[in-house]
Amino acid sequence: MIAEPRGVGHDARAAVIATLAFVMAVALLPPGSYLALLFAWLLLAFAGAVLGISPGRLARRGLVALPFVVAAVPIVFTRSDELLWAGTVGPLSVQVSGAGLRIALTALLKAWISVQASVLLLALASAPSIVTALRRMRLPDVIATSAGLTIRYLELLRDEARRMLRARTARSASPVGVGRERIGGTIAWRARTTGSLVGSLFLRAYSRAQRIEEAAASRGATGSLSIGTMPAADPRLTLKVIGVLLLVLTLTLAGALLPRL
Amino acid sequence: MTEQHEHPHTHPGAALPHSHGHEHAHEAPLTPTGDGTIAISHLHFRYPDGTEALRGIDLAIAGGEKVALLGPNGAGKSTLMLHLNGIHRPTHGTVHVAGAQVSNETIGRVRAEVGLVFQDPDDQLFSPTVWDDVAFGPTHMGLTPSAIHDRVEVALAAVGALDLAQRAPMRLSIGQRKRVALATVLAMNPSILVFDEPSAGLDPRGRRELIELLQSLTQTLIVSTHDLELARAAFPRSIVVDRGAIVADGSTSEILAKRELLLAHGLA
Amino acid sequence: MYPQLHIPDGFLSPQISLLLWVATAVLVGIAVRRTGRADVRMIASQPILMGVLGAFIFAAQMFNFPVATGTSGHLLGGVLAGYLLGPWAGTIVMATVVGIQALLFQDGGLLALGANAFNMGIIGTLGGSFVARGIGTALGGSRSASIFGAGAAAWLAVVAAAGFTTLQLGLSGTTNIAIGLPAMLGVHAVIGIGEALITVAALTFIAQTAPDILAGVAAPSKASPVRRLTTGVAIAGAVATLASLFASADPDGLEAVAEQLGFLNAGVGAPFELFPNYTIPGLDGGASTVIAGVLGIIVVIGVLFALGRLARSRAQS
Repeated sequence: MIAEPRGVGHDARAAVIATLAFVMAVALLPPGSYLALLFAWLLLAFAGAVLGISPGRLARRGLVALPFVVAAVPIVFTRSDELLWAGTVGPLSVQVSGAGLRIALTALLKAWISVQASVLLLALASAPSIVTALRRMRLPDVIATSAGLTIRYLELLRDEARRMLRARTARSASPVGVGRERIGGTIAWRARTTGSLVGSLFLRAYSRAQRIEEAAASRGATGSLSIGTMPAADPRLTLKVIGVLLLVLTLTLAGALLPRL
Repeated sequence: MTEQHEHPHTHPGAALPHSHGHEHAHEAPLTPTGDGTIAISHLHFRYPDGTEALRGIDLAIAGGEKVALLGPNGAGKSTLMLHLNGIHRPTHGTVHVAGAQVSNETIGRVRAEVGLVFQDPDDQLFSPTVWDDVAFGPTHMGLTPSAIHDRVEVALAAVGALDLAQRAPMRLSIGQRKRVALATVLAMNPSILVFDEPSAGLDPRGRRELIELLQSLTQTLIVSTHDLELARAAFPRSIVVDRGAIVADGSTSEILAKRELLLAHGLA
Repeated sequence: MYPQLHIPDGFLSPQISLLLWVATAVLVGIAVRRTGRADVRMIASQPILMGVLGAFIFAAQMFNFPVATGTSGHLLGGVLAGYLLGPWAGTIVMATVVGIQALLFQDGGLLALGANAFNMGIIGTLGGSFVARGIGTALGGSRSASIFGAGAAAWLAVVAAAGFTTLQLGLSGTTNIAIGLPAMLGVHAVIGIGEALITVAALTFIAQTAPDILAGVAAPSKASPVRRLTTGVAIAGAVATLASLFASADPDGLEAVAEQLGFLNAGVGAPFELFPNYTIPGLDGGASTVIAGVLGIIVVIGVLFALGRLARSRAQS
């Protein structure tokens, strides 16, 4: 799931700033800027190709944003400007608004593109180096350190959770031949078992945290804790930020100049 | 950044270094400053919740000795080990490490002298990369960047894990993680190494390589283990701990020959 | 199916995104300063505990809980985190978890992160924790009372998070509040039951198995009543700002809502049949009802909050 990226241990600030600026520029495009959005996507696809990700794969990764379109669908039917169609379907009166459609479609495309930008960021810089970059950009120590540790122990704890779930499933049989009272037990019982699983997982996590504390203390940690070495600062950071600003400018211009639908 | 030492035999998936790595360990430029002695006198320890974990431990270990701590679960072996680097402090009694009594003033030096390798390497590898984890100790000691760099390289070379330097810990096999966990501790240049169940979870080949590695180390070694074969193979002296007290202290071969003793204390 | 609350980028207007980023940053900043205050035992421990418990929350969110055929709730864990770590550290952890979800899993946008962290971290954990304490204290302050409080707060947190999410989308013009709000609130009122039950069950399990951990980890805040009152005011202020924003919202949005009155009365079932998940019976549209509903949530939280304050300061004197 987390692919081994290039750029482990490099200054990721330029990548972070570029991604944020890009997403912001896309978000600022007014509804109906389909051409500008296409332009934005082409930029991403190009960047992706340079990093070794095919546009098709990138586009598919962007689809994770798709389910949220459900939230935007009502606006298609409830706005009353630019009605494309109004009539009755059975006993119900339905209207389809062009303005609403435009809003929903634009939102969807923006989400789709923004997800891909995020994916590219991860291809460009590892999660820990992003955290380090944020730390450099004044993210408080407590957040940066705990975020780093969460990232580090994420898979481990999820694996433990998976094993516990598997053990629960293994004992979640359907009765054979015996009269079935209530398959799956009552809601209260199910809640109790799930609660016990969550509770056990917490206790394991807590013990692990204690052992990590001891390990860190054994290696001399006292007081403020900082994990991970700070990579050398990128000497061309200013240059890259200027490049990013130019990119944003281009996108905004594209949004302003390209015709909207 | 890291020049590769010659490690023709190490490859991802190998449990522990082959003999080639050991030569590097011998020629490691780091020599510990402490004398590697341990002196514990009348050590009593009670947990905050009242459980008495250690009842009057007396023991003395000379520099360079290889000692196995044997005993059933709950005997107090781990608790005892955590006294050696000051994570626990005695309720009564004293603990002297490399000549210095473990106290708040000496704790920094103590933690540099005693390297504790935990049972679950995942508890010890909490940084984003192997390099970061091994550098953690020296960094906290306040060494200069170039000194840190040297320490990390030497430590990784000693366990045959230089090629793993930029990897994330979650991507290593259990054997690789154990090696790196040891490296994180070696980087602090300790005169005493303490291991908690090092052979747990290793396959026979991994165990054999662990034994070879342990035999190559010159520091004082203390190992807490259920693995009697490991004790017999690499640790001439054994101390049997049960219910918070020492019940036997002597030559490993003699102790392992006393079947009633072993049975009485959950070792067989 | 788990209707997600993580808003992707592109759905919120820049103004809303910015406003919520500021609100979240301010409150998380306060949280950071408060957790910085000494935990004398082992200062290094707090980020470690927070970090590992963040991973725990991630893992806990994998536990599903079948509520009805085809629907299962997943744990959000906001109030749980707040109970186990304390409101401030818990808020930091939840906000960080939401951030990592956005960064690593593209679950929620980067610009929308402020809003998402607000809905799930601030409302969910910070607000939820105070509500939990308030209820717990009001019910007598025993362990079971506080766990019950956590359960009730967990339900409320889920519903409130859903409400705020919809509000933000509506104010950005991306959804229709008259339809979205009742639907989201209704669905999450059901999901919230799962959250409440699991929270209570988990806390009960921990209380029975390792009561000492609970006492140590969920230690009550030592802050003075004055300080907590000012914090309460700050949160209430943030909430009130949002509410007033809604009141002075984009006239187009409200106009559209008003126009729907006719539409809704005529075709009340139509949009809902289109979305199989939103099967909420007995809905009665109308802008005034909607506004009342939203403000109602805010008022309820505020009242419980104030009750908790009152009960606590009385208990202490």
